[in-house]
Amino acid sequence: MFLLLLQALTGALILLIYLPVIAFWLGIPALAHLAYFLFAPFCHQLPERSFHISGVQLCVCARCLGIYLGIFAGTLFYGVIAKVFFSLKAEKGTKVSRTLRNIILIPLLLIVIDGLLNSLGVINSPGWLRFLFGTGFGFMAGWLLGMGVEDLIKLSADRGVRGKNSACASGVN
Amino acid sequence: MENREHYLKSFLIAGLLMGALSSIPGFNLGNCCCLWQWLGGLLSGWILCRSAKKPVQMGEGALVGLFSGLIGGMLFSLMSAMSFYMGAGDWNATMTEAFHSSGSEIPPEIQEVIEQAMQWISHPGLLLSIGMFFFLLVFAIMSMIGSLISVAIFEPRFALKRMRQEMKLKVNAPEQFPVPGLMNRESDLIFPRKKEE
Repeated sequence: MFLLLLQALTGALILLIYLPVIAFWLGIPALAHLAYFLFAPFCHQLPERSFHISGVQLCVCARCLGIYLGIFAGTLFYGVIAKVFFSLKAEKGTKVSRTLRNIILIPLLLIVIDGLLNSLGVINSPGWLRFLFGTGFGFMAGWLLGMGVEDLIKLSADRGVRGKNSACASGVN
Repeated sequence: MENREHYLKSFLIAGLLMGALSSIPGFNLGNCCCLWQWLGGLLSGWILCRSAKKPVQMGEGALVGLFSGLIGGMLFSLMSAMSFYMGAGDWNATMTEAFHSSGSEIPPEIQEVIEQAMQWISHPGLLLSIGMFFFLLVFAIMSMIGSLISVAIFEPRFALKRMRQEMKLKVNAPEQFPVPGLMNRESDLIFPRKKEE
């Protein structure tokens, strides 16, 4: 249930990113202004670093778009595909392993190195590459987010059960 | 939830730092690509792993990240609200201008409905509520991810440290923590035994 809510919220974020394009088709620029206003604190919104659809700039840059799309895809993959097709389920109180750490480090290092080199002016990587690195990192982040949220729900449910049991044992009920 | 006593410290420090850095002019450039949110989450997870006495689980990392994001988001929203109310007139003008620039293509009856909706949307109070909800959402999600990454990266290292410490304690237990009443060495006794002749 909570995983579904998380997927819906990340999906809504993506819809907001594409809102200027929808607003352009509908002919309501004020909606586009609202979307730009909301994302302004979280992204530089430079036109040369953002994707355009029908000549309308999206709310965030290529890297951020990749991150948001990746997060959505990651949570969706963890919540639906991984469970249905690979029957991967987080055990209660999932502990981290070295393998998980290594899987996380690769996209994280890629996006950090690309971001640093770009901001220092050493390279100027094309939009599609930023988008790709952003998507890789976002997918990993979404997967991790799904895993963390599910584990948190299981932990809190377990705590609730233990609380009830101890109350019964002490004769409160 | 075995490390509950360390939650408050982790999310309070990280949340306040995240919120302050996101709001201070100049430093808020770090908000680009949600950098402060990621780093705030990373910090909260790191503090939790460092201070925990028992293995930290992914769910605990998510919880700490969520709360630090909410605290940071609230601080940022408050600061944004203050700056927003100072320039609210400009925003209303921009919204009205943007709406009227598209007015010619829409039929008059629909235009009227949209105009009413736009007036409602451009109301500072509603806009602020939408903004606050949105900021809290982004802060919470990004901070949770940061914290989970931190737990995944740092927990194996701190777990090893904890294990080494435990082993060290077990090996040196009698020397480090002498239990009253138990004799470790002959000299530990207050009244040493007399040697039998």
